Amino acid sequence: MEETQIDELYFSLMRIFCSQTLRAAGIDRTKVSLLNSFTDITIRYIRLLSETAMAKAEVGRRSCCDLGDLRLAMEEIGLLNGSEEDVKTLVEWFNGPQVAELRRVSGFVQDSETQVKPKDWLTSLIQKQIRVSGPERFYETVFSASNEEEDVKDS
Amino acid sequence: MSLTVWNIESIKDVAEMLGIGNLADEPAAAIAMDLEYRIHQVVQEATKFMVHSKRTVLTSADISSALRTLNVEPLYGFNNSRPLEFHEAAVGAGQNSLYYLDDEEVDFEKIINAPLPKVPRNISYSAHWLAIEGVQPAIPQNPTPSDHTVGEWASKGTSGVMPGASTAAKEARNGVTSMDNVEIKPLVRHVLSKELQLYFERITSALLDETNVELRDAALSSLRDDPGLHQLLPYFIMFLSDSVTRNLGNLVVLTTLMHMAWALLDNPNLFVEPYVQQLMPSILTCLVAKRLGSDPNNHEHYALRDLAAFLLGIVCDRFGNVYYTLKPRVTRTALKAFLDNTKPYSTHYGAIKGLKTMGKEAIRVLVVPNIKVYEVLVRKTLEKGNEEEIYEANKCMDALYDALLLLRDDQLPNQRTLPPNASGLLEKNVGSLMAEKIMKENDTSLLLGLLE
Repeated sequence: MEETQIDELYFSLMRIFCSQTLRAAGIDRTKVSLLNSFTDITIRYIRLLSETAMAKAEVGRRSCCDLGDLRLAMEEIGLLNGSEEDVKTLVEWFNGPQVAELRRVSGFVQDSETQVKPKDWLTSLIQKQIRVSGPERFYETVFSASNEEEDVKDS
Repeated sequence: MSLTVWNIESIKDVAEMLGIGNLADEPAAAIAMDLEYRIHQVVQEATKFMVHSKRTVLTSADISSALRTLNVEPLYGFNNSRPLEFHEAAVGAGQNSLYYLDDEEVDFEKIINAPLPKVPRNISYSAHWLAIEGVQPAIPQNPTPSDHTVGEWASKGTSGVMPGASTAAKEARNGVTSMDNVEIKPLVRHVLSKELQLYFERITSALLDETNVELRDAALSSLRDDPGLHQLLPYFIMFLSDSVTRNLGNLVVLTTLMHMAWALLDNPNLFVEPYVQQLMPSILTCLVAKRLGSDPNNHEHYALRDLAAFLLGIVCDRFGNVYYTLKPRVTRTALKAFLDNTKPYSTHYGAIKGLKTMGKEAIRVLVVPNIKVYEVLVRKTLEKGNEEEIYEANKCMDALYDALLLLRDDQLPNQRTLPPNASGLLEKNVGSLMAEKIMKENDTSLLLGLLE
């Protein structure tokens, strides 16, 4: 039961991310089934990417994958074609207006003078929930580890 | 008529959707049969995933995995977060109803701001006591006392409706065996291996065997040194107290049993603390019992009493801090036995020995003031008693003297001199008999200690 619970949680988190992505692209509403399918495909895609990257890392006898492994994985699943221009295009896209819009929609707080560390929407969401229902909700849950890290860095 | 559960009509409907206008019945039936086979295949494969995940509920993840192993294109977008709801569509009379999935349009705003599902607990490890010395502490991880009632424990997992213990018992009595009642076992059962049982029997019979000294010594040394006897400890303690009460007339066995107690106390691998309460009566019996051994003229029981007093000392030293009432209780028992002049000298002897193990203060406060009174009893015996009684009385006086030796003042005996009227003062303190005895030994440090 634990396993399905965790799957459920991650699925709903991913669905929020997918909604934000679609929203950044200018779409406001979809059918539930479409959103679910889109989320599912995104999950599968990221899983494929990370599994491939891990396989590359294991070939290199590393226990963690590095940027090189990730690039190889991207080439293998066809995200990049292996040329340098392609990588540049990806980097440009990442710094481009589309991703900036995505950040804006998801409420990503850029690091500014007041903020030392940029905040992503998940951190904000958890902090909001802690404010609403108290920190007990996340004690000894899958989020508690990341929270503790957060606290250490904050203090 | 179709041979499958799948309707030919629905096959035809799908074909129509794909642009095949008039599919004949025969291929439609063939497709329906194949469809059923494929679905069986998928479900079967998914069930394997479910079983291997130790679950009893088939999830959409299992189906996804099954499709993957069967090399079928996956179905996207199915998850457990929301149960699928089929709605019935109203169609014309006489036709089969049409069901469809409700697929409403949602606002992203709603999805983004929806509350998160229950956040599962992280996997973590922690330690807790299942039982401490056979006692289950009352912590959430352990079953509550109400769970200990017979029967409920065994039937908990098997049925949603729990039959009460009484009904279960009734059913069992009536010879009705339902699934719930088959496996009722007592909650706590001390399991001893065959080897340990055999060992226990060997040891106990060796200890009770008066003829084979070697075997007895071997048994005692095994008890003294062997690791891994902890499981047997309660049984040994039980055996000890049983045998002591049963063998009061047998000095050899009693001595062996005291040696056994000593061995158990000595074994570094045994944790005797919880059993001290059960051990004490046996030791005290061997210390202050009226008669030990069958022959009253046999004086060997003094040695046994000495041994018991020695064990008492060990127990009080080691466990006096844990059982803080132990020492006062033992002292009270011994003092009562000592002051009761209806008790025989043998009991007095043991009591004095016992008080001696309680230390200097016990002697000074409890024994010394009573020696004078005790002397009356001894004097009477010395004048009127028979040989045996006189011997016993003297034995007690010796024991008293021995106890008084604890009070010796060893500090700088040379620089202090005895007062001139030492003998008189002593007589006033401990009575003439004891004073005489002490003066005879001419032990300056003892005199100083007593006169202080």
